[in-house]
Amino acid sequence: MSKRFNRRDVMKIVGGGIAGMVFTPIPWKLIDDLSIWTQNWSWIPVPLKGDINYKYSICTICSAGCPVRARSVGTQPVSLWGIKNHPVNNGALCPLGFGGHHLAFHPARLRHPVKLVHEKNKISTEKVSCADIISLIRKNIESKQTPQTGNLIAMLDDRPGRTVSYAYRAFLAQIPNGTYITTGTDETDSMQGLYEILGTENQEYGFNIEKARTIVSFGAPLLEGWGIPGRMMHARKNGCRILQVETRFSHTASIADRWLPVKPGTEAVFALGLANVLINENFIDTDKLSYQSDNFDKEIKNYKECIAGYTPAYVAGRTGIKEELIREIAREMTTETPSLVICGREPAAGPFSREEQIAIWGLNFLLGNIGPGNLIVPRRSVPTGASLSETKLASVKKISDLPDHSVRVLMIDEAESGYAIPWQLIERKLVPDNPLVISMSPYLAGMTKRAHYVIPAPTQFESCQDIPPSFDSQTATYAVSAPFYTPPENVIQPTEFINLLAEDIGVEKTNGSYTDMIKERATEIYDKKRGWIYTPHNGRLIETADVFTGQQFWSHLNNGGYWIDEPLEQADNYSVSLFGISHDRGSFEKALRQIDKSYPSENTTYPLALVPFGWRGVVDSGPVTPLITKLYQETEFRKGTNRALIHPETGGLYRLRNGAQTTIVTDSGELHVRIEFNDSVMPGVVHVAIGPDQDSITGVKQVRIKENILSVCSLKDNGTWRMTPARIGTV
Amino acid sequence: MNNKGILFFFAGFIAMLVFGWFLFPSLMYKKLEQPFHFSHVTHTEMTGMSCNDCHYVKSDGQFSGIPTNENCSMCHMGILGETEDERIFVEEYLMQDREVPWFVYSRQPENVYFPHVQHIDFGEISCERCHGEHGTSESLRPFQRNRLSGYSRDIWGPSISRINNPAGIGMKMNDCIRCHEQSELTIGCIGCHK
Repeated sequence: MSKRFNRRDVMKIVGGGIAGMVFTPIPWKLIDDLSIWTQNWSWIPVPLKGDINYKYSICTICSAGCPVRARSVGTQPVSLWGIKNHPVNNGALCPLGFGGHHLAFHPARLRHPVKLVHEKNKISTEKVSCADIISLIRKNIESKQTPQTGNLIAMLDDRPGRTVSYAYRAFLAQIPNGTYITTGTDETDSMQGLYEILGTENQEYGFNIEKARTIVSFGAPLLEGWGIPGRMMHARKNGCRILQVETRFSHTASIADRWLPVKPGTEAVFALGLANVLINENFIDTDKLSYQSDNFDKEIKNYKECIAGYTPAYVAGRTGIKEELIREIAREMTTETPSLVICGREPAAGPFSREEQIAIWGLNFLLGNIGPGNLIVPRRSVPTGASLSETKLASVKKISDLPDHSVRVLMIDEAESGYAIPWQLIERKLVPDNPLVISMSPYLAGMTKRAHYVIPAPTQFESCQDIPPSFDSQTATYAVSAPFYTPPENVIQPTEFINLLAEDIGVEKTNGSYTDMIKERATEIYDKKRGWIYTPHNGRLIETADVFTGQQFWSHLNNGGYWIDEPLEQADNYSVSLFGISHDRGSFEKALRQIDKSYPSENTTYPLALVPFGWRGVVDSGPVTPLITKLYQETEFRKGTNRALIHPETGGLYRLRNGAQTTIVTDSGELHVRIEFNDSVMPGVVHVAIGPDQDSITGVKQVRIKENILSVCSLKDNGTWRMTPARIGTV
Repeated sequence: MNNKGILFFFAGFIAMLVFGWFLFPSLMYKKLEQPFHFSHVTHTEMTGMSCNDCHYVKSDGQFSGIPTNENCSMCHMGILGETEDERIFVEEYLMQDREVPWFVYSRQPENVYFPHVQHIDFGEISCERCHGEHGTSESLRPFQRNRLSGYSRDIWGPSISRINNPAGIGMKMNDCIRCHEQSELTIGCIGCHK
């Protein structure tokens, strides 16, 4: 052995040391400590320390308006919980709601008005002033455009019914070509068919879910975020059975009492098959129903003739559900009573067409579900407040009803419905040359990424907001989301922005501040002395008439109180028609032909049926809370955007392996997806997820735009996109 | 590799093992003395007080934690006894209305909270299960602060390997989960995380 100690020997010692390190706690301990160290960086918001107090408010993430109890230190909430035994939702809260207090600190949070500079698949931001944006809108309002060149100044609001919605409508009614629009993509759009068969537009209806023994759901995600969270779960605990009619083995389908996997696009055919059995096997109570329709005998005779072809044998061939099972389900609907039929919408695949909705909702009439005391009950509307009720309001239009290329200025209220909206649905309504899109949003996420300018709006618990009743609520309700903290300095309340704009163009502003407008609405509710207010701090339901003053009523609302109206004993005159609002057999027969040709199995160029899917509140790149983001990233609890589920048999036909990258091609374009084999998917069908895409939200300085499957879905003229003929392309 | 090479390699290997298992843990933690010594024994055995007299669950379910000056001053209106620690406490903190900046051995990260009331009252777990014999200590041991994370050594536990930690030793998330699993109690993320 040489006695010289050289460089090579040093390397051997170092090598031995490195090898030895693996057998010591050093690497593992350092990884652990470093990860904790990163949680303690000075700029990371940390909950305050101190005495705990409890505050009550209402979550505004979606339109359900769930009551929350905030465990707070000083003014800062550190955790949110539902309120046990609350009469509105039984204390349930969705996973997003649990982290709602984190949203104010979201990395995509905007704190200054910005101009968005769109580059290829990327967006960068430049600070601008609010006055610059107002000046641009004014110039567009003053420009002498014609309907031919596109002259509409539109406000897109996906949560109509709030006080801010009425403020928008009051403003738009004063300006030339002011138009108030909704995308009509939330659950209320799935109720249009119901309102059509009821022949009423002014009377609101809700569901007495608690009374139902059986619910037949056509595509409604009942157990994964439909209506007010917790209500359905509570009904289920009390013995209500759920039968899910849906192509995909969704979460609801997987925990429902029965999953009825119909071929894509044949839900309405299945409904007509059930109607056929109900009528022909005399399962309907004609004596009861005759009171609900002006000309019942003729109506039912005509309907029977129209759907005569939808025999169980025919429907079984179309839907893939066995003939005997169709009869069994129809029988079950009349034995396990009362049974309710719900026509829903998939959060990503959108609503059913009007024709399909009429066919599905019509079952409720045959089951005798409509009217006070039944399962589909009328409810009163919430008053708008004294001054707004005397103000001229712009009418509510659906975006699909506007002519293409007609909107010159589009302002977007980014209180999202939680459902996916194909941007093309909006884009094709914009003028082709220099449209102006302004979003009023707390975050650079979701649709705001498509805007040209963004006004930073307060996020939840930063300003006073009001909560109109959820679409499924059986009575009118009203609540106020009281703020917990002050918004950042340059954040602007949308009504404040509208007032600045009104002042600039010389039209009337709103009557007082936004909080004043909400208070005025609350006062009108109080003055009617009807219903009850639930006070969460003591769990009491107080009769409105027993509240001494309007100020006290307002104070209850500001402390998480929830006003619940009395049930409506008598509905406005209505006459149900199974043919829809026109009572016209001819147009119904035409609709049936539409329904009949909806499945594209004969298409040889595009032999697959592409059906998008997602979950309410987490479609695409909308903001979700850090806790949920971590769960999604680590668990795939929700499939990520552009994950394509196919049956292994379909994969085999295209020589695809599980996990392969490929493209989905449709008439509208192609999109890269990642294939995932799933035995529950029907052969010949591709389900593509529009799940959370949190990787695209890294901050506000530069944001990535990632197209989702809706960009290649076929948009029909009626604004639906449930199913698109497609094929697998190449990478 | 010749014999000399193997020897050097193993020398490095062994040296690193020694460093990693014996020196590294003490380098990772900085020992800090508490502002002054406090004897739990004096307070429990000599005065007959119990844990609950100072560390109690409030009527609204919150845990009081370490007593504040307000609690202590109920007895320590003046200097009691002749110890230097008592003098420091009364003169430098109570009389100057300064809260004692104790180093808390069991302080959890900010993103988590631990409801004592559920564990003590509903779970019927004794204080000693997590805090050991702290309640019968004569004086406060030095606080070992992790140089990177800033948290106490008690969170990690005395054993640097954390292998076969007995129940009640260590206060990391895995320790919570292990105990919950042993007790067949399920809990979601938001049960503990804020």
